[in-house]
Amino acid sequence: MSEIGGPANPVHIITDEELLVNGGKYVVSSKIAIPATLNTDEQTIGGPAMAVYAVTQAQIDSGEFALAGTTPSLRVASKASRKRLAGRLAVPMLINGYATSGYSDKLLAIAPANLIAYWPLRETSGAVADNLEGTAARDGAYTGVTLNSSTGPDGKPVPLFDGANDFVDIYSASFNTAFSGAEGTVSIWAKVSGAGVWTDGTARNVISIEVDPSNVVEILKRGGATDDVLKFSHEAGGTLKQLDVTGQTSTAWRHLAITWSVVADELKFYIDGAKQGATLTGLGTWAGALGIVTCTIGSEDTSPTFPWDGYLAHTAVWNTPLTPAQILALATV
Amino acid sequence: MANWHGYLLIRDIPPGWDNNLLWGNMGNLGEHNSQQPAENNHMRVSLNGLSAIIEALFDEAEITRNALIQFVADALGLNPGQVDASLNITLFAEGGTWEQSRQACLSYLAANRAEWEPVE
Repeated sequence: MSEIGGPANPVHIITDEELLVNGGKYVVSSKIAIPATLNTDEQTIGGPAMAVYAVTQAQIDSGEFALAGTTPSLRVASKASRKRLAGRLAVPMLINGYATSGYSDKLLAIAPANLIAYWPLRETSGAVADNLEGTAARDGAYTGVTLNSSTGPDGKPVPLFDGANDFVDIYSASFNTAFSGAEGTVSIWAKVSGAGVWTDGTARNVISIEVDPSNVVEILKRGGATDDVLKFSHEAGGTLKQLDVTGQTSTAWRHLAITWSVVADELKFYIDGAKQGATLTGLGTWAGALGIVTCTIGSEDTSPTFPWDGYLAHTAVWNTPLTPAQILALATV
Repeated sequence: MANWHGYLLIRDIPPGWDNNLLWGNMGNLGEHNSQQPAENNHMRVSLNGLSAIIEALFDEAEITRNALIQFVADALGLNPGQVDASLNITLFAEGGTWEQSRQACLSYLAANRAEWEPVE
């Protein structure tokens, strides 16, 4: 490891909080806040919630990485740290196997006590859709998607849902226990695979969280003759409240969200941070346990019915209604 | 042996065949241990249960018509000749790219929506 360490070529330790992507280049932000313990025990900043990257000075000098803003107070790794990094340098390097992004950090900081699940969907291999909220029992399971097929709104990998037979199963007993049909928020980014999806006549689910047809929260693209429509709905105890947003043509990433509160008797729908339609009232009473086969991202169920044709990312669920300002923050990368 | 990643349709099997047994066996075709979920065998069954679309990274040798006839015959305990007379197989964009196969599969689904999608 001597060839990359030492005063002539120091190694910088950069957490995911400081590693941004700008114009296809990795950029180290000025927000350096590495714990002082780093130099003696880098393990304290590793793990799924705070991945660690190692970048050589040569990589920065060559322009492979750039320093954004004011010169950050980069720390030079200790000799002990360099030993642990030996032979494992890559650009960027993931020591603990999972990288978060600036967007993920922002999402995790929004009503964290009420966040019950967050699936970034940016895995590049494997069948597990990691729940970055941290409860492993709420990890999702991929079926059929093409991982790392494109990049999401934050520049991170996203899967392609093929429109034929792909979905992510997000049901778990743990999720069922944490979910509230009375108070909650769903936030997700969606992008169609092409403009033709909006006129293909086929219904396509973005997300569905369902007990039964009388108790369900979902976002879908409608099918039938008038299909350029995003439908948001919350049905509880058979009381259906929904909104159709017509004239959809965009092939860009769209942020979609629903918030619901029986206590406040309010149901709100958002696209790209902007509230859609009037606040709906008169919500019903949610009843029953979530269905084992009816909690899915990218379809209505695990059959899969109404499979999404395109990309989905950063799916998160809270057990409280987020504020319009919080939704706007989620819609902003 | 060559592999092909695409979509296979078994359509309108005779009502007398045990469809659950057949689809369960069809789940054994193709790849199962890929780190890319798209390559692992996954299936969608039509609303009436008599057709199925299977996507996987297949060994081309296992999805020839003769191989599939023998596979189905073995699975259901039928005579291969009997299977041959009734088996309706489509390999979407056979030999083409996965995207070509996907698009062909989507076109088929769009043209036969009532068999695969309930009323929204």
